[in-house]
Amino acid sequence: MRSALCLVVVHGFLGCGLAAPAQGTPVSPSAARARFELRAHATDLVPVEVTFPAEADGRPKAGRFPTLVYVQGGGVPVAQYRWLAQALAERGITVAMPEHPNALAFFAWDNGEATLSLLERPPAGSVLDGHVDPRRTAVGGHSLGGVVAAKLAPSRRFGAFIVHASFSDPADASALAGLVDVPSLTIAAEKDCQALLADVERGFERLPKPAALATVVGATHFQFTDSQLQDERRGCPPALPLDAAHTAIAELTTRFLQRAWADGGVDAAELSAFARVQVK
Amino acid sequence: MRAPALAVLLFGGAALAEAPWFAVQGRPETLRLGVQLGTRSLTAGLLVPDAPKARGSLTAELAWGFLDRTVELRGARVWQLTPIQGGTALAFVGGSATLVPEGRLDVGLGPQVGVALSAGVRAFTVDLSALVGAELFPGALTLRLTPRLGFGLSTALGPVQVSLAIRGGLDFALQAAPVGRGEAAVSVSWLREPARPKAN
Repeated sequence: MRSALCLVVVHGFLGCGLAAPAQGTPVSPSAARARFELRAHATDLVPVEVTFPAEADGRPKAGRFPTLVYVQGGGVPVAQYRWLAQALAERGITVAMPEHPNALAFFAWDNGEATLSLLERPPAGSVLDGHVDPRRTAVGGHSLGGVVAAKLAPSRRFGAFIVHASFSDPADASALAGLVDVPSLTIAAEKDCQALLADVERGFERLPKPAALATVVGATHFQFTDSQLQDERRGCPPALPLDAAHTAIAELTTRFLQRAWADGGVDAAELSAFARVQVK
Repeated sequence: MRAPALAVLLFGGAALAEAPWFAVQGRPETLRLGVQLGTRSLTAGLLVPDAPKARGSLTAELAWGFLDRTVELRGARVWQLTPIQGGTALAFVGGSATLVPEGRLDVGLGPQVGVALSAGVRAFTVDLSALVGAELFPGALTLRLTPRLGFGLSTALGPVQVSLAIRGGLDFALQAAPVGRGEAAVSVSWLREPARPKAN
């Protein structure tokens, strides 16, 4: 009776506790998705979509897995990055994607750091409880999300950071310069009309070693999401099929992270099968 | 500069630690009961003048933040500083209490002060406001400063006033990134005009 009252009356106004699912919804035979909620800035309710390595029924696989906090691009719903989260989860990486007000990460850019806190101290009994390896974490993002990821990296709470079709804010240059032991990967799209390749290359030069710049030949800006329609509407069509772009992005991200977590390094040979690579 | 400011107003998170919205809609001499629907909250409030045609009043509002699932109680003392030609200048001092019931139970308390200018005629009024508040959340160990700017348009038809308003700003907290805040809202108020003096 009490639970029913809570659900019907209270939940409509004040809720019955932050969402912390004990089981996920399968998205493939080896990955599942669950929606968490956390409190940021004392009052803000932040939904976080978590995609994790799972059994076919949505239960998390045994073991502790590395995690990537991924920040959405400006105005791009989190759902448009589900393809990437699923691909990484199938490769053994848990991906947590926090939402931001009106999908603009710049107005609450530390939601990513609050998400890391959720991963480091997950709710008891949830799909994350006992399944997160806190020693292997990373932050990344696409476009504006990449700018935000580069702002979060200097906190030193993440073991690596990734910038997709983006570049760091020049104002963060001095903060980033001190991250000499935090490896980074920049993935650029050769035919990007939003984050121009020259700008991405300049941004890469601001990053400390070890760092890699991987340019996916023929790819465009919105191929980092689930649709290249925005590129086509803006007269910027890709020269690479979307599936091929997704494979390259997922493989580059996975191989970089695995190496970064293993020994803190970056290896051009591991990445060059999918992109034109520059390493420093 | 305009584009980022507009973006904060339209796209920021909930405008919390707020002074009452009804305090800045002019007419502190008029009893008001109102409801307001915003992009992130639903509010009910009232404004009670000290006496008919008084230049001071008290206002209180109860707001339900339906996206964040929080409840906020706001109150303020409002003074009409001086009537200006075609408008009114106001000042207010008040406070708010925010209940955060989920996760770590927390209550934020803090003061707000502000000024407002309403200009126009009864059929069409422009409201401008500037306010700043502070709010302490002991559970989250957060103290934040909450400056805001507001802009509104109002029209009154008989005893009913309809207003469109936007309010935005930034939250500043120690060792934390600024957080953009903004909300747009429409309100409907019932006004009871002060009694006119009887002719001799």
